[in-house]
Amino acid sequence: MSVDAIPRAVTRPIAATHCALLVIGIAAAALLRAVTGGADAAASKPAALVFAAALFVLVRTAGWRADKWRAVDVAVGIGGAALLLGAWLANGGHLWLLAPQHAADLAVWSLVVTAVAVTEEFALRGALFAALVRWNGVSTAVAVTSVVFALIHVPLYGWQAVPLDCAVGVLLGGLRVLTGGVAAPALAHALTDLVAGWVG
Amino acid sequence: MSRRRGALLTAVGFVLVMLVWRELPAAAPPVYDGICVADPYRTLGHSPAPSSATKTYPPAKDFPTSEVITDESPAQVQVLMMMDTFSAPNTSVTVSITPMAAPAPPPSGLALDGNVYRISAVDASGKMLQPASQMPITVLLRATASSPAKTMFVHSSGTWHQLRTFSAGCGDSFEAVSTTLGDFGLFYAGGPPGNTGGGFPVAPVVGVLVVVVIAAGLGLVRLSGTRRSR
Repeated sequence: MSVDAIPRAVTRPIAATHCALLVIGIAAAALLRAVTGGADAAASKPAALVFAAALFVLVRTAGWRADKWRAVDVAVGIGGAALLLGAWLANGGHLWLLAPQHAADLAVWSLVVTAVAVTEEFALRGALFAALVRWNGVSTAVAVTSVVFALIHVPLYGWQAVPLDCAVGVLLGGLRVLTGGVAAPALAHALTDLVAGWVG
Repeated sequence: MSRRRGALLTAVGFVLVMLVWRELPAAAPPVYDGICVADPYRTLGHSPAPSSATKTYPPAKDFPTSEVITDESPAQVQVLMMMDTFSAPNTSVTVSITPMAAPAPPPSGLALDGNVYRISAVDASGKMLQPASQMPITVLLRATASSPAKTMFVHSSGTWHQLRTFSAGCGDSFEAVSTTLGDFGLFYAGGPPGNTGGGFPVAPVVGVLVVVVIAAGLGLVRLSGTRRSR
């Protein structure tokens, strides 16, 4: 019997437990990043890698697998990054390139940022989103993943980051619903972080 | 239906991002994952010395939207000014940022983090200028560490004035809006910045959190098995 054929009354409690375990695990991973990063949690590469590793473990144990990336996902992801970067530039963001002596640092930084962005998307818009859809539908999935996305950044930036990250979460959730997969939000998220870091 | 809903959600998200960003102070952090590439903080009296910055604006009818930035990476001070911040038609305006010793002891119960910077503006005759009443400046100061949270103060008219301060993310930067120029600094309460000690049991907490992540993972594995067996 396939999972899809099981009555909703049976699968819903399981999905709810699945969601709860994922949220607990993601929260613990975010706290782990904050604690291991110490006073500079927002800038700590080791702490970021610990966070990404913890999220990856959760995603794998949840049994979630990313779909193959399609050309349309890549296009939508680039479009999503353009929206986020456009909003930033339209509201006072300014550009300057990092000093050349940082080129080597920037290469390492880019790998870490990409790892964090992609694992965040796999955990939130991938595993958690799928479990939330099974539990209570797409609207709940978008709302909860946006809130969780904002909350995991509180240890880094404080509560003032919550409105912005919630809004970004809705946009990335929209990309997830639009394409039916996690590739577009992952690409949009990673590109935004990378470009903003390179020139912001 | 899903595509239409997805497009709608994306549009709603974009509008929300625009609205929220518009309400946030200028230069709010665009990097959601925070990791920064940053030089060590330069402290006054040590080598390398913190940099100063000066920018002179030629005579013009309107003072332009602009910024003055010190040349560390990332900058230790940024001053963002809107159009007509200074009302000084037909004269040049020079805006300066200069690191300096603290002009007065810290406010009660607080300690200074990093340098104090004098931010000033003068016209061609050397007359000191202040921002127009409806045109406050935005000041970003870099701290020596992001934690504990810092509060920006400006020393003017002989006293420290607290400013509403936000984390600006990358490079441990904090920002605030100020209606006056003067001597700006970041202050914190409690122990020295960068010290996460103070009795905080890092190792046990990390251990507990690792156990929670593993327990959640094992729970998910078991749950996946339950789903498959049904």
